[in-house]
Amino acid sequence: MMLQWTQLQWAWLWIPAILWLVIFHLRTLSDFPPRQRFVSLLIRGIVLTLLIMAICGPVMLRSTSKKMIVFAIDQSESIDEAARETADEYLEQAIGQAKKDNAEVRFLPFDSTPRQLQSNWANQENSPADTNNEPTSADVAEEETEDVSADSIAPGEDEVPAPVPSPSEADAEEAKRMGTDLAAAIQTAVASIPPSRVPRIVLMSDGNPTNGDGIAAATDAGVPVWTVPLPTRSEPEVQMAAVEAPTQVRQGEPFFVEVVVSSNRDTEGHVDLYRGDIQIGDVEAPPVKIKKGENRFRFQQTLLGQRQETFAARLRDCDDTLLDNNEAEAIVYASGKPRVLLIDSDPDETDSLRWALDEQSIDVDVRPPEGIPSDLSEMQGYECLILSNVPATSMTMRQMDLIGIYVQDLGGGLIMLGGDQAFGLGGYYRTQIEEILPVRSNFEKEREKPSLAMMLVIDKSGSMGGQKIELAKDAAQAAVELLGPKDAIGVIAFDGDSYTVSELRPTSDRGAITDAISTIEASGGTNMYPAMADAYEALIGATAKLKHVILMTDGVSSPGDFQGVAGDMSASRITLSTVALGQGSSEDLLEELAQIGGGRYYFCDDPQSVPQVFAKETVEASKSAINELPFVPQLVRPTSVLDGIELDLSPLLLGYVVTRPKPTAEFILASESGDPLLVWWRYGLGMSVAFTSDAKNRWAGEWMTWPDFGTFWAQIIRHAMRKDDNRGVFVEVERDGNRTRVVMDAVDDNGRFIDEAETRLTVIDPRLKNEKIAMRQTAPGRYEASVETLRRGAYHFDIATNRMDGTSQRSSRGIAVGYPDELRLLPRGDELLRQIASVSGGRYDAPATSITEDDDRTARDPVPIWPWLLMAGLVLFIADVAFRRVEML
Amino acid sequence: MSLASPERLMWLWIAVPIIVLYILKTRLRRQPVATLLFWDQIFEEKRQRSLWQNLRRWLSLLLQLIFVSLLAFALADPLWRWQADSGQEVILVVDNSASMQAVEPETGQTRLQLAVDRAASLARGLRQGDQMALVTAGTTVRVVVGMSDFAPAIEEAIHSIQPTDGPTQIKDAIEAARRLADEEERRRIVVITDTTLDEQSDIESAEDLSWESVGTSQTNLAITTFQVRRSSVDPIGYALLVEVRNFSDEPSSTRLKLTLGDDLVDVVPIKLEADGVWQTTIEGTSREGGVLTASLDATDGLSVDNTARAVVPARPFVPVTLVTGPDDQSFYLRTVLESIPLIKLTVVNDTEQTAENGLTIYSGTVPTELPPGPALFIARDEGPPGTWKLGSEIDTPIVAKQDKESPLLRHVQLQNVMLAGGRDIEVDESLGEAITLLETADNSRVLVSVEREAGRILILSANLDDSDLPLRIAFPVMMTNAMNWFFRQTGDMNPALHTGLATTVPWDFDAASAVLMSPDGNVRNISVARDRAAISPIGKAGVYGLFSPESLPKLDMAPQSEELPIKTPEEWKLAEEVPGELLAVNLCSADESDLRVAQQPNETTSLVSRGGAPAWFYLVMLAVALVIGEWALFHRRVVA
Repeated sequence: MMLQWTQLQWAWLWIPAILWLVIFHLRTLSDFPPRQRFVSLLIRGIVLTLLIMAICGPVMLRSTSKKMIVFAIDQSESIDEAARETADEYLEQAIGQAKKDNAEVRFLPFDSTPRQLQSNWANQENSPADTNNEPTSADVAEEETEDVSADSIAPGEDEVPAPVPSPSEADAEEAKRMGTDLAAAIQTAVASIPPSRVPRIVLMSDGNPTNGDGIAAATDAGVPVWTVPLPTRSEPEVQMAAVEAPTQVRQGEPFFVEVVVSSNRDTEGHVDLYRGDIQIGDVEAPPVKIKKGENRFRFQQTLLGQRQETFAARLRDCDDTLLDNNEAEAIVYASGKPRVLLIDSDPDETDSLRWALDEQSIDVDVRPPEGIPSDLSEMQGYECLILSNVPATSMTMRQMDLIGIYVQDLGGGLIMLGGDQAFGLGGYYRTQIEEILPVRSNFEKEREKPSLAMMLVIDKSGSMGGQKIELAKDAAQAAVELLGPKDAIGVIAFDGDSYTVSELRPTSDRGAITDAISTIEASGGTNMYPAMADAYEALIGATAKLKHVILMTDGVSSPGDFQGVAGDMSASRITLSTVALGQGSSEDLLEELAQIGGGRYYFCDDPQSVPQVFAKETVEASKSAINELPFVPQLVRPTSVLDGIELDLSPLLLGYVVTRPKPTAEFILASESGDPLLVWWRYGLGMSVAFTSDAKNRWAGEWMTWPDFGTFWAQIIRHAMRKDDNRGVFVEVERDGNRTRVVMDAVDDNGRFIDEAETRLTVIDPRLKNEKIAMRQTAPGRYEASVETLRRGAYHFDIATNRMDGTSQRSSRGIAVGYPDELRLLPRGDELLRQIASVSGGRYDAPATSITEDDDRTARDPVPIWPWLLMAGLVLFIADVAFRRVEML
Repeated sequence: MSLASPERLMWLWIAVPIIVLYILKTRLRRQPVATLLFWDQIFEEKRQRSLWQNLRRWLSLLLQLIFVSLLAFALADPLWRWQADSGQEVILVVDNSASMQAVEPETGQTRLQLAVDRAASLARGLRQGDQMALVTAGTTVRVVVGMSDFAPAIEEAIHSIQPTDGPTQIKDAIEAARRLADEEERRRIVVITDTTLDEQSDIESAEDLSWESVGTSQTNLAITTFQVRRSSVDPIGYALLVEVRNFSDEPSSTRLKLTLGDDLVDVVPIKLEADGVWQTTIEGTSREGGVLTASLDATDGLSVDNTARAVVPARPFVPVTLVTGPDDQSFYLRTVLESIPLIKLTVVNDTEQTAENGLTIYSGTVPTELPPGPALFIARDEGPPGTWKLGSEIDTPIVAKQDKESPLLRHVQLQNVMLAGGRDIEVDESLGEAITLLETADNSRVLVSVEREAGRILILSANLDDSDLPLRIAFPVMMTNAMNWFFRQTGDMNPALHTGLATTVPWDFDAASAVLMSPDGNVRNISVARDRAAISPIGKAGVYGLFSPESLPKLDMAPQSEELPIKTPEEWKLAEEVPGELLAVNLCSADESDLRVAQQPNETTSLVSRGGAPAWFYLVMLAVALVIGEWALFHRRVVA
């Protein structure tokens, strides 16, 4: 028991006040007897003293051992139904005990953030994770709630029913549950206990936090934190916890790829390790034993030749509940010779180029168009990508976007070689690739080229609704743009009937034609025949030299004599190309029609590729994009890249694709008629090169015998490719929770640290968004940056260093982020919970009945006593008045 | 204005007995007198006065009643308007980061003291029904006091706030504060800091947030980067990166003094432009290493950033055993090895003797089986079974091709050098991945490195006594490279940490746990997982020790008692063989060292009353005035 004065500075008032009383007491004119006057003075003095005491703000500190216990209850994703039941059981007992011992209780549910503090415990039955569990009867839930309210001390606060969360709120909720922050929970729990109670925190968790430093928070808390371990998942579960491999290795240096498998029971299964797409080791290997807890499997690997390799590990045939956490990967980088990926529609014809480059110590991988990488990690294994006669239709939009990022943000090189499937002929018009290339595929059509009349026959049936019809309209409009002024185009749309959207008319009237195209709306059935007949009718009277029909449908037409019309077209020298859009279209029929009509057949699984098909068809049909007259390359702009190559002595090239250089591109070589042959430019961090002739027999048959052939290509490729010269550079990528730290150590050729270099890090996240960050020098030769890596998928890093001496260097690395840490199957974090208890002076895993156990601590419960003083003063005042009114003595 | 305890208004009933006392005619005292003659006369004269006498009585009653009502109202505890939206939850966020240690030249007080005073006055204004919590935001976010309505407890806690050397965590602190009170309407967060709101652009000013700036702008010089690491080429060399910044609008000059242990390393005069940055790399040599301390010769606003420390890791001697053949002197090789620093050379001629934890060099001889650690072979014969085979003698063993990228041949030019006794080395695949470093014109591999799990192997097929090689400058360089390669010395460092940063550091010792000893000798447990010790944010700069707990037998986990002289981590490390590492912790934060405060209009009005007193206080004051005033009036017979 202690008295404390909060405003003691007012105590001085007492002295003048009392003096005042005494002075007037002595100089009184009152006729009361002196004794009564004296008593009156005494009483007034006491009243005054009481008032001044009240002003000084006395507070009585009552020593109390009354506890407040805050239960911080982990509600994150790693806590399953069984664990929740354990928690509820424990809480029920603890609440009973607290009631018995007159301790206050509060409840703080938490996951990645602490939730609202509650006075009553009612397990959230409407939590999102429970929706898939067995339905709980509402009655039971209500009863439980009531029971618990009765048990708990404080009266229930007005319970507002939780509003039905909107989808985005539900997502946010879900995201919150994907984490455990013990530190935040402890802090919030500490803060919710007033100093007038003896504090105690009971932390109920599985001890696997995903962020926050629980031990530090417990050390700082100054409150005993008792920890109650909750069981981890109980369903049979085997997880691929991680694939651990060094970020960077030397060529030929052996290293270990460590596969970490977690399981919550002893089981058996297969652990397959893949290097790229190839499985390492025996495919038919017997299953391995997986023990309860963490299992580590080591595979020794070396990288020879490769630049970057993805190691993926998969689990199969295990006793398992969740299947999507059975895979993890790691990206390993090795320095070495430059590597180039050559994509060619005819890989057999690439031998001479490959041999020539081999001579120049450039490693070449040759793949058919199907082998175009569909993820950045794979593409990052190469310094340069060469597309040799690859049509745009063999790539998806995503692949094109990846190439864009590869060049623009990751500094890769792109070279496109000509051919009858390249540039405009490959349908690159208005694609991402055309954007990157230094040339355009639409060009001024020369006057002497034959004129073309083309009819587009487009399915506008109901099934084309939405995105499909919009893309078809875009495609038709692009076709209009690609034609020359002497050409003519008409558009027919069909559903059950045929509608002439735009008559066959010269493309000089572009505006009207594109306007007409934009009016097409999808509806109705599918009947192709009338439209084909109309297209035939329209073209038969046209005067153009070349006549072409493009027919596109996504369905099966009502019957008709399609073959007949196609035959008629063919007989009238009208060619017919067909496009089947999506599965379910009459693919066989369309293919047959294209054959009869002397055109080409396309199958587009993805409506996104329709514009490319139309562009390709249009350029191809106008037969103007190829110039097959032999020529000697003409040097337009001398460049050091071609130093040592005697272009004057170069043999003839036999043809090229006609393109138009972009304004800021570097136009190096031209054909004799002045069209671009070799053009390059810098695009973002990378470089793209267009060579409109080819490097194989069709046009470069004579070139391949030229002694400088290999040097020519090697120098161009070296110019275009990423200067990924990693001598002396060692990059470490470390992921810690939600952040990844990129540390680069750099030494020069003499082994001295490279200091004061300007270093920038470009990060490409799994959504292919990029971010640029400056790296800070933190030590001699060391540069660091830290980025947030929250999303699942591969992150790619490109580090660009500009040194003091003017040289620059690039390095590329990657990291694969797996499923959220919260979903990791980890053994219960007993050690952590024990430590939290020990640093804070709490207990680990104490029974619920001991929860109110006394310790020596007491709290001081402050009671302000000024009201009591005032009350005493008032009561005395009556006596004071009475002594004035009544003569007593 | 509302009342906190309206029920106490019933104390107004006290007025009743008082009124009764006034209404009751006081019983007149019976006083026998001889004659009424004079009395009558006076009575007639004073008739008017008796009217006044009556009035005096009622005035007296009125004063008593005012007194009673003042006290009764005070008891009912009326709330001012600022208190009326009762149940405010005020969270004081007090910045106790390093920059708050800056001393204000005018008052001689630190910014933290100003902040504490301000916070305390806010706490005194706390009213019934309101609650207040205290959070500190330096180094780490710490909840000092949970929600409480008792101002003295909060005040006490406010005065207990200690400065830290860590960076400010205002943003996290505000986040934590928001978590403490989740009702936005009732929440008031008062941040008392020297950071201005616009500097922390990622903190959005919000309704619930009020910002109080303390401190005035000051100039400051600071070491903002200080990190040392071992050289990757010189075995005993180190390189130090140091950055000094001038946080001032005026140019400045200073001197940077560097000491390693007790030895002065260098004194560097520095001239800095306004807002200037001076960065350099300083190289030095020391085998033993130790604590490298830099101090700026400056008297400025903040002293903690004028000193920085870093630990230069000691370079241990590498035991190298040179095994020579029976009649082989290996004169050149031995001389070269002896000249390389850090090598502890033992020469034996027993092939079975190997260096423990070190390198074994076989010159002209081969053991029956490979040694467990790294090994260098100057091979004239085939290796043990399953290792390598040697081809036949080469006529002109001139080196034609050299691997330019290998670290082993850095600064080494061996093309066209005659390697007498060179023979083609064919390494068995089972031994490990072999890389050819030197090749002769006929493609014979004469220098091969092998990556092997048990230790790297380097094989040179040459007869050093007959060859040109030992006479060339390239040979000692190659041997030094080889030593670095064998022991993977690639500029290792023991990075100096920053205050307020959670991190992990390598822990190569057997112990499964570690203790962190602070410069003042206090220890705390550190958890170790997979060879890394997790260090939670450290709040004070200095040299810490990360030791194995068993190695400190005399040390209780409790703070050292006063009788024992306190040993610093450095002394522990130096004096005894304590397994563990020293860790240097510096502030090195440009944000903290910049003491300039953007002059922004201080927050218009604080949301909490500026330390005003509650209404009852004023009522009681009035009552006091009344009660003594009335006393005077009564005794001077102005009132009855």
